[in-house]
Amino acid sequence: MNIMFLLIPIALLLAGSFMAAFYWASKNGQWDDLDLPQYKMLLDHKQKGEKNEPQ
Amino acid sequence: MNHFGIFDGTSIELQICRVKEFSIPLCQFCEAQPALPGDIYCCAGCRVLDQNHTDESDTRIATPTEKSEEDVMIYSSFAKKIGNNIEFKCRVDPLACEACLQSLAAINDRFPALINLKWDRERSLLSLIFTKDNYFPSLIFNHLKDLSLNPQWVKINEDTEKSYNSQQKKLLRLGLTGAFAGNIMLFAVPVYGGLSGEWLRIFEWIQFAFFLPVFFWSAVPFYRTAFVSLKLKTLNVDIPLTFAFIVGSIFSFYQIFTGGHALYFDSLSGFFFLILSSRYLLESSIEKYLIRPQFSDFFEKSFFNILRIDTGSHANSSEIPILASWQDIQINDIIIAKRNERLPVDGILIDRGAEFETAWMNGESHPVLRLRGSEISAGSRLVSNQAKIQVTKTAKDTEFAKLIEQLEPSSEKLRVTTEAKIGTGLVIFCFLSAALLFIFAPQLGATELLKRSIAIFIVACPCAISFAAPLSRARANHLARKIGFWVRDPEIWSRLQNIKKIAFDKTGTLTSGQLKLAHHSPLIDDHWKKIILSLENISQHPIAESLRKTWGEMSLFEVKNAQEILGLGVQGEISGNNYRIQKSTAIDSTHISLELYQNDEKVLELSLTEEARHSLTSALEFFKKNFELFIISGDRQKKVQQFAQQHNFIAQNVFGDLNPQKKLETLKKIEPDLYFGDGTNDLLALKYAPVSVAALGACREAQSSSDILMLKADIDLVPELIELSFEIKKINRRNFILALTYNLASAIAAIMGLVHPLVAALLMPIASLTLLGSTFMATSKVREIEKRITT
Repeated sequence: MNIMFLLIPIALLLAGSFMAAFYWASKNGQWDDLDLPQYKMLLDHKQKGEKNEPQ
Repeated sequence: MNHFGIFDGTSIELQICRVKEFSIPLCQFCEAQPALPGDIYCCAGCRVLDQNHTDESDTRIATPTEKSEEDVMIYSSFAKKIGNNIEFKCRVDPLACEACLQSLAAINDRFPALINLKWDRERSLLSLIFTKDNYFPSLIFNHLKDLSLNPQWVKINEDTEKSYNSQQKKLLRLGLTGAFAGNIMLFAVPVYGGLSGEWLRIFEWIQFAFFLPVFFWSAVPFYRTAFVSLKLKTLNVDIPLTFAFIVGSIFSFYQIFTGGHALYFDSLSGFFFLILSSRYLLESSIEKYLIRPQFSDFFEKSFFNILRIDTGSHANSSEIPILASWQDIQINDIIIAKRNERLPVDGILIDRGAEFETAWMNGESHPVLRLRGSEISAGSRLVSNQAKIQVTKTAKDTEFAKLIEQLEPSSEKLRVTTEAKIGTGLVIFCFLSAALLFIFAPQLGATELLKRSIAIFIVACPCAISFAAPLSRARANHLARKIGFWVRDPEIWSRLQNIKKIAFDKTGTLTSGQLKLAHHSPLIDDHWKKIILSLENISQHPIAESLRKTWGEMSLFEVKNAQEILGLGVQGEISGNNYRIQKSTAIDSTHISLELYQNDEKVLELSLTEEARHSLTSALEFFKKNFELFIISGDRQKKVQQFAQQHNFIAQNVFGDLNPQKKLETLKKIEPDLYFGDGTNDLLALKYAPVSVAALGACREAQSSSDILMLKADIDLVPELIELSFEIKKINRRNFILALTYNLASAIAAIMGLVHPLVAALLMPIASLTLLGSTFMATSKVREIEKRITT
């Protein structure tokens, strides 16, 4: 049963980290827009500030 | 034929006239299903994208070197600073298809000045983020307009932020409660498996630790609603729910601190997670982007071009052109209205003449000619090119503003739902049972009596009912959306079952609002069509639009000296001949007649009439069999009567010539259970009716004031919606019977001491799963509708 002393903290740590990750994502607007990013990444997107190069 | 009846035994048989066929041709651009039968595009966005699609549409738009005056004005009214950036929010029409989403995503790529663009699907809000020195909101706004997304700036104030934060909080609460409940259950399983000794205590304390945030944070909204309901002396399902939750929690706290093992942390947290989930699902299934219209929502532009008379210190007054928001327009200012602009003020036309659409008064989308000196009321939309109007009344004093004011939410009495009644009944039953137990079985001892009383509260808790009902409504909303209705108020499902009287607006509701060619003489061949369309090409008058829509696109002749004659028609020269299209002088209330002249000789006569809405005949056949029907229209009485006669309405049930206020008064006399409308003149009626439906193509304000939005043109889909409401009632009734049977049986067993706390804790999730199963199984008719829609 000594293994329980290791397993329980690991279980609690895992649960805590997932909850913290969810909290962070929610507070930082990660669920705000679930539609556009999937299309944006397919576009030939240039970094902001990057100058157009002559063809 | 489908049949359905009413619950209370006095069943009537409603017959659905035809089974809908869903084999409509798909959108030419994105292959989604078009809303209008016969339309080749699913939405306005696809039409624009298909017609304007060139390689240039993918190129980047260079950032302007200077901000426009409009940009500065938009900044002063709508910007919100976020660190070094500026955010603007803009409401757009809900995006109908993937192609529109893609075009929206591409905006970010096309406009380098835009740092980020986010779309809040639920509220259909676009968030545009620029750097604080480099903002060009008008550029994006015009682009959104070009995409037919009907944008409107939104002031980022406490209300918009509150709504966003509350949505964010709900999701956070749901996610974290799920995690807490999951972990509690994880640590409860070994306890049920027979864990004992020190480890049992450790596992119980871990459950307790996870339960604390559920008790002190997750359940707070329930406590708040229960408290507010008690204060308002109204029944709400959250009252019994909160009570049972608090009783169960306090008992479990007592047990853990005194070394007892009768804990309910797993059941209570699990239930709260289920209830939060079902409410979240229900909220997600209803439309939220439309909010009660504000006065400013009625104007496409936030600022108007005006001439302000400056008397100044000089003797001679001068007119200074300025850009002003509707609040800043003053009496005697001259507003320079452009085509399609709606006026925010009353005034006098100082130009020679102009055509205005006054649909907000009478629902009539066809313009009327006004001459110099005519009074023009706020809310009128200019149809001609440009007009100057001298302001006589500022925006807030106009009749139009008073109409909008009446849309303020009234302090309606909160409706008491069936689940609230049953829930409260159950809690009273628990109290009585516990009291009787204490009175008649004192020999059991205080500890045993307390244990049994708590077991009664736990097993008879109305949790199952309170999550099953929203779940079935969420499912109904989802199905309704597929059938072609967007439900805005989930409470309508119970009201839809009590319909006896239905009232309709005419123009735009029973008719499509479009003109169709009724007859012509002599026969029009392609040559004449081409001449007419070529002449009408310069006009954006509804008649010209209707002709283009009726005859479709064709190659046009070159027209020299093309000219629109105000209030009369169009003229021009084609291949050396002078042509003129003008309205006929013969007055007919039901038709619009046009004459085509070639070199001043009449060669053709056309007659246009309002087009009845698609599938109106079959829908009316159904409605007439089951309900009493009324027409309440702002249109001319004669025209309305003629339409009613054509469609066999009872003459005394038809009312015309009604302005919005009179419409409301008529509605109050008739007391219809369901009202169909589409325009600004229907706003008060839509707000007043127990169930209001905005027809497809209704203005955004009418949509905001309705309970249901039609997503398809077919009015004969309404019977399916009513049928669905009866099926939902069946599911709810079955759930209530199941829950009551279970609750009562378990409560009796608990009184008799047959239910150990552990068994009670296990029985609760079993009851929930049964109700979940019952809701998902639905009824054979619901499954049939579902199958029909998906195939």
